[in-house]
Formats: sequence, structure tokens, C-alpha cells
Amino acid sequence: MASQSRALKPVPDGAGGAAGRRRDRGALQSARLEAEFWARDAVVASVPLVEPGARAAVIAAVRHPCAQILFGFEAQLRALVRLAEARGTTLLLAPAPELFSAADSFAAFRRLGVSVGAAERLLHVRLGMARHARLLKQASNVILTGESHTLLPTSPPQHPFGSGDRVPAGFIRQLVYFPEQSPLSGLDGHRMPTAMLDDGAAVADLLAPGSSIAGTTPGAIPRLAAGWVGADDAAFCAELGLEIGSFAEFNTPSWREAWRGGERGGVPASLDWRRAVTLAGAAGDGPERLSPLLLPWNVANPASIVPSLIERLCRAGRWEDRALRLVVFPFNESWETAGTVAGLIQRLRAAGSEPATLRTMFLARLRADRAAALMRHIFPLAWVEGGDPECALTLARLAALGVPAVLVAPPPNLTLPRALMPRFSVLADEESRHDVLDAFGARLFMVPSLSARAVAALIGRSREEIARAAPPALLGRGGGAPDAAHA
Amino acid sequence: MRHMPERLPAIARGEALAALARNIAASGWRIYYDVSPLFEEHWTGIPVVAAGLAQVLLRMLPETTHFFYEHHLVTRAAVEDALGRGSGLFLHRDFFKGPAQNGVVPLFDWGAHALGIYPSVKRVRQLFPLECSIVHDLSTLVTPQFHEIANIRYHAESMMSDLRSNAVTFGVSRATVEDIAAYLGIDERRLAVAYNGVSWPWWFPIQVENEREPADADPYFLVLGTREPRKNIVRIFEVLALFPELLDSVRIVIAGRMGWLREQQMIPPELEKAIATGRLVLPGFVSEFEKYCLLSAAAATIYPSFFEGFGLPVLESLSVGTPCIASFSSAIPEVGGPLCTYFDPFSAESLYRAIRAVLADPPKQRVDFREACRATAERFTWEQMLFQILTRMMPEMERHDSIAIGQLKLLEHTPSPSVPERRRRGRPAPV
Repeated sequence: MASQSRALKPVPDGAGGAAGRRRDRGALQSARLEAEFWARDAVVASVPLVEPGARAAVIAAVRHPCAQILFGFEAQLRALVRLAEARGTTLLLAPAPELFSAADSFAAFRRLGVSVGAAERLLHVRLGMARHARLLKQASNVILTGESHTLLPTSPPQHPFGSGDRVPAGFIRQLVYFPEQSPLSGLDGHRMPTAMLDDGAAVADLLAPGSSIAGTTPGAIPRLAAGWVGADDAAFCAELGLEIGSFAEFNTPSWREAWRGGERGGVPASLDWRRAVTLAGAAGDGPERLSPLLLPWNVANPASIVPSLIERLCRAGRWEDRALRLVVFPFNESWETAGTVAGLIQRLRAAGSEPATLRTMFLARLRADRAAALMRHIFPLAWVEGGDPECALTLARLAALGVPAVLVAPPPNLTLPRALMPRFSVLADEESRHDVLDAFGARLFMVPSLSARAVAALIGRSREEIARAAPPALLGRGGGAPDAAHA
Repeated sequence: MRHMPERLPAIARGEALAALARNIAASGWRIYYDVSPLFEEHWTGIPVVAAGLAQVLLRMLPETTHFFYEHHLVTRAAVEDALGRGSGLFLHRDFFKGPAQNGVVPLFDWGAHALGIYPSVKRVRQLFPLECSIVHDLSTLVTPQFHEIANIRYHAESMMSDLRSNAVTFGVSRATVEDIAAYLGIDERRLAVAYNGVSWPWWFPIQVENEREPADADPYFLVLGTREPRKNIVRIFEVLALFPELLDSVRIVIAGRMGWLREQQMIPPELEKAIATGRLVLPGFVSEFEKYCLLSAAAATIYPSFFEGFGLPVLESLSVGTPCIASFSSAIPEVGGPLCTYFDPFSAESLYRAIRAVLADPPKQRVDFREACRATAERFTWEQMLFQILTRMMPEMERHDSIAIGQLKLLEHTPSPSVPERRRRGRPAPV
């Protein structure tokens, strides 16, 4: 218990613990974005897309099939589509804005009825990770990122944009969702001018009229309100666009195979786990009254502690008896992260993780808005990594979905909007060293993380939270209270 | 708006370059030219550019030009030999075994009159009082998904240091210069365009006449370039898979050495029959002469690249009067101008339409097209590239002449006065 009391710092509503105490430090002084900013001939978005998924150099953004819509840059894109629609603007998507240069390139725009020629007529909004930022020539370039860089590499990377908080000189402005987001700067260190989007811009897609959350709930959802989906319900979920597959059933077709494997014209290739099967196939033995925990995983965050957290849970043994089921939602998959999810699961298998354990951990992907309303019925709690640069954006989207969250190992300098403060945070009691060597150079991150006993305490406290919100029958296979060791 | 090189007549340009070379030689400046790209065995892309410039330097500034690799001078004879062979195989061997070395770069005894020209990434920098380098594209930075991590890091780690140590950085197209300014924030006054050139040995056209294919052979489309993901060869395969009837009337030849990443294995199984029947030909790396033959005889070339700093194969195609179906990406339209038929590099349908358009109305048979191609080839030459570089560097050299070496980033330290001295200075003067 002593370790638990050290590790867990329940935070009164609205206070936010360490995060809340430091809320004002480094906050942006952003003016609201003026309405005329959108008044261009055309608004073009771009994201760190996987090239094979695109079928044209510029398309209507609404036609772009997202691999998952819950978090990350694809969620940003969905939200921006709704924002543009609300302003009567059609949002275009340029999968590779960097290829546009000469007048002949822009013929692709003209074919869509967009006249190009002066930067003030065309607005390019870059979404996603700052270190992936690209520019569109002959346009006004702004960057809208959900990131807030609370954990920077301790050694300066040689790559111009390797630190993650620097962007190309051609951007004229940074758009932010929350005033607490940390500012980006140019290569010379100058801070970019910022402007804040309207409240709710981060979740515009989820809360838009006509969305599943805004009232058009599929009729069958109420029967899921009793808790975890059983085998019969899994097919229903998948039909709505929620795919769930267990680590044990994970299949790893490579990027190349997925690209060539009859994907044309459909959903762009999923990088790692396209063939993840639904829960029905994975669980196999009928309905289970267990509590699923939603764990967003920003695979583009090189300093993420999610992989080590999962590995720790697998190594701990008898995870399957904990009555919790970890459902990992990887997001921000791109060319850079190909193999990340597969790599984790291969490591787990190589380390001798029990099949029984792997059957109780899942990968999931929300592909369609119709399934968004399912989330709060399925997931009584989410663990959100405090050191994730997109932590605030993830919390905002979970809040819109109605899924309560726990903040895991927030860095001391994290600042969050008051409305997004989770019920409690689990403070880091360790610091782990992440040596990263990738396309952005060699970097060293010192990352706040959780020890084994802190993880045990997190599990116990999570079960208490779930118990508070749900009938006891939902906990444990036979119902009843959580086991004493983790109470 | 297209940015084309100055439209001076070729003779006038030649005279202007000669006059410029005489000026430089007379002013006592030496030019040090980095030959590291020439150490490659097979020359494509950057080594071709480096070789083109080296040839012009040898011809126009023979006494003024010196060659170097890192800190070592390289003998003129070894460089000339490599240029004659069109390969760096022996240059590489002779340099590292010793015979091609010519001592070390004289770091301290030339006064302030040495200009270092780096045709690509600088292996060592700040050796010379004035330096300039050529950036061929920012693809490792802007399209890293097409490169291996080691290559990305190699370029990324030296990029900013190279640019900062240059008096002027040259991009091989306006698009590249704009990329450098927009992504890396380099002041455009320190950037300039030096377009690549194209040249063929005089005997190539004669020899080609002797090896021409029989007239009744089916026409073919040539795809030229290293097989790497950025070159987007898969789009060709996709077109052939979607529209297999295309191979009934034309053949496709994909020439170029194997590159990296996934495209090395990307020939789809459904095209194996086309390979077996000779409708799809993959000869691999071809020599310069073989390339010239293939270019000359092709009905058209296809250049589907996703991103190019210049697009040398486009210019090579036009230089022999062969039309090019090219992606509308990055610098390609700047080079191809109105002579190319452009398509969307993401769209197989768009490429198919472009191929059909060229088949329906073959530009190669039009006199005006051939004339326009000839004019393009005259505009893009290695002489013109060197002229652009030296013209832009001349003001820098003149400015440098007026600066004493001692003024270069020296911080003068004056000894601080002693305490009694400071008191004496601070005391008000007696009235």
C-alpha cells in the first residue's frame, strides 16, 4: 500500500495534479482565428499519409478513407472536414503537397475548379506531427498540430526537424486547439505566430449534427450498455467500423503485401495489422464479463512508454486473471512507423509471453463514425500517456466520446486545459532512457515512466474507478468485487 | 510561371563564359573542384552532373582548376581518365592506392583567392575562403519515405552545415531553390539557380545510325532511372496490370540499376508473361551509349517520378528529340516545359490517358517538336551551368578581394583597465 500511495495522486476535479499546478507555464497567448482566415478560394489539407493509399494528387478530403478516425492526424483531418463544411468550404486533400511546384502541377487543382496563382487565394493546412510538416507552394501555409512538446530530446538531433518542435520556415502561422499547447518555432528559433481555433474544433467530427454521438445512435447500441461485447456483438461492432483483434491472433502482412493485396480503390493499406480479426474470432469462447481498458498509442511518438507498459504487463504474469482487458488503439501510423506495432508483438512473442495473456490484449481500430457512439458503452476507462505530445487532443476526443481517462506518467511541465483534466493522474516514479535512432537522427529522451509497483497500483485504482461506474457483475468472470491484491 | 535559363544564343554564351574564365584566371583566383561524386563506378544522376561540370572546367579554366577529395588534391590526369571512361572505378582505385593523389589541399598558402566548388554534399567544409555547393534536391528531407534511413541521416546531418558555410548555394532548378528557402529558411540572396545540362559524345549519333532497330519492330516506351521508390516505377506496373492491352501495340523498356527499398521486388507476378514474351524488358543498368540508343529509338519516354530536383532523364529524352510523358511533380515541368505530356503521379488512369494521347498523335513525327527539342538541348548545357555558377560567384569573389583575411570573424579583446585607472576615469573632471 505504501508504494501505491506514493504512486497514485488522486486529483480533485479541475485541479489536475502536477499538470494543473503548472497549467499556466508556457501557455500560448493565442488570439482567436479570425473568420476571414477561411475565406479563400480553396482550403487544402495534408497529413503524413502513406503514399500508396492515395489515388490522385489532390482530392476532396471527405473522400479520403481513413484507416482509423479516433486519434491522431486522421482524426484531425476528419474534424477539419467538419469545420470547413460548417463554413461552407470544401476541404481538399493533397497527399503530397511537396510535389506541387510549377503551373503544370497546379493543373490538378484547376481540374477541381480551384484557381491557383496567388498565395492569398489558397490556404494549406498541414496536420499531424510537426517534424513531418510539408509545404504547398503558391499557398499560405499554416500548421495545425495536436502536439505539445513537453518531452524534447536531451541531445540536439542533427536533422533540422528532428527535435519535433521546429517546422519549415515557410509556415506563416501555427493553429492550436488549446491555449495550453506549446509553441512551435522555425529553424532559427523564432516562435511562430499562433491563432486558436474555435472551441470544440478538435472534436468537430464527433459532435457534429448527424454524427452517431450527436444522437443518431444505432439502435442496437443500448444492448451493449451492459458492458463488454460478447462474441455475438463483435460482428456488430465490426460492421459499424470498430475492428478489434487479439495480440494472439495478430497477423503481420507487410506494408508491401498490403499495398499489393487488392487494396486499390478501398481503404488505404494498413501498415501492420490489416488482418486483425474481430473479437469474436479472438475470444472464441463466448461472452465474457470483463472490463476493457482503452489505451491510445501514438506510434509516432519515439519516446512513448506504451510499448514498455504493455511488455511489463505481459511479463507480470496472470494478467488474464486481472479481469481487465487491454485494448490498444495505435494511431499516427505512417511510413515512419511501419513495423512498430508488429515489432512490439513479435517482441512479446519472442519473450515467451503466454498465449493466454496475448489473448487478453487487443489491437483496435475505429474506422467509421457510426461506431463512435459505441465507445462509451464498451470502455469504462482509458489510460492516456501523459508524455504523449498529443495527450490533450486525445483527452479531448475521449471526453467527447464519453470515455473517462486516467493520465499516466505526465511530465512535470505538462499543461492541460481545465476541461480536459482527468479524474486522476498516476505520477511517474521512474525515469526511463529512450535511445532513438531513426530517420530523424540519433536522439536521447529521458521519459517519466512507471515502475512495476506503480503499474500494479494503476491497475488497482483503475478497477476501483470502473467499479464505481459500473455494476459489480461486470468485474471478473464470475462477477463480484475485484480481488483483494489489487483493491 | 516558368523560370528558364537566360536565352542567350549558344555562341554568345560560349564567348561570355570564355571571357569570364579569362577574368578569373587573370585575377589570380584558383578553383578547387570536389570530385568525390566521380568516385562512383556507375554514373547516373549526381555523378553525371559532376562530370559535366568537370569537363567544362578542364576545357575553359585548365590552369585555374584543381581537383580535390576531402583534404587531398587529385591529379588532373586521373580525373581526365575517369571522364574519358565515364566511370569512377579506376579513379577510386588509384586515389586510394596513391597514384591519383597529388598532395594535400594547401590550406594556408594561397592568400584569400581560392573558390571551392562542391557539386554535391560536402565531405569536408570551410577549407576555402569562398565556397559554394550544388543542392540537387531536398528529397531526403521532404520525401524521406523513399529513402533508406542511413541515406536520410547522411544528408540531414550535413545539410545545414553545408548551407551555412556556403557563400552561395546553387539549386539545380527554381523549385529546388524555393524548397531550400521555404524549408530551411536560407536567405534567397544566398541562393541561385544553376540548371543541369546534357551532352553526348559527338560519335554517338553516328554510331546509332549503324545500330538502328528494324523499322517493323513494335514501338517501345522507355522508362529510365534507378529503380528506387521515388521513381514511382510501380505506376507503370499498375497501368500494365489495369490495361494489359497496351502491351499488344507497344513494348515497355525499363532501364536502370537496382535501387533500394521495396521496389527491388516489385514486379507483379501478372507481368511475368509480358517479360517472358519480350513485351516488358528490364535490361538493368545500361551504359551511356546504350542509353543514348534506347532514348533515340523510343517512341517516347515515361518519367513517373514523385519528386525531382531537376529530372535529368526528361532533358536527356528531349535532347535526342524523343517526347517525354512525365509526372507533373516538383521541378519536372520546369525542365520539360510545354514539350512534355504531364500526368498525375498518383494516378494510373492519368498516366494511361497520357500514353494514349502520345500514341494517337506522336510528337516525334512533328518538325516543330523536333526543333523545340533542339532549342531545349541548347539551352541546358554544362557550359551554361558553369556560366551560371561563375557569374553568380564573381561578385562574391570581388567582394572577397576587398576583405583582408584578418577581418574574418576576429574578436578584438582590449585589456580591461586596472581598478585605479577605472577610478581615475570615473572621477569628474575638475572645473
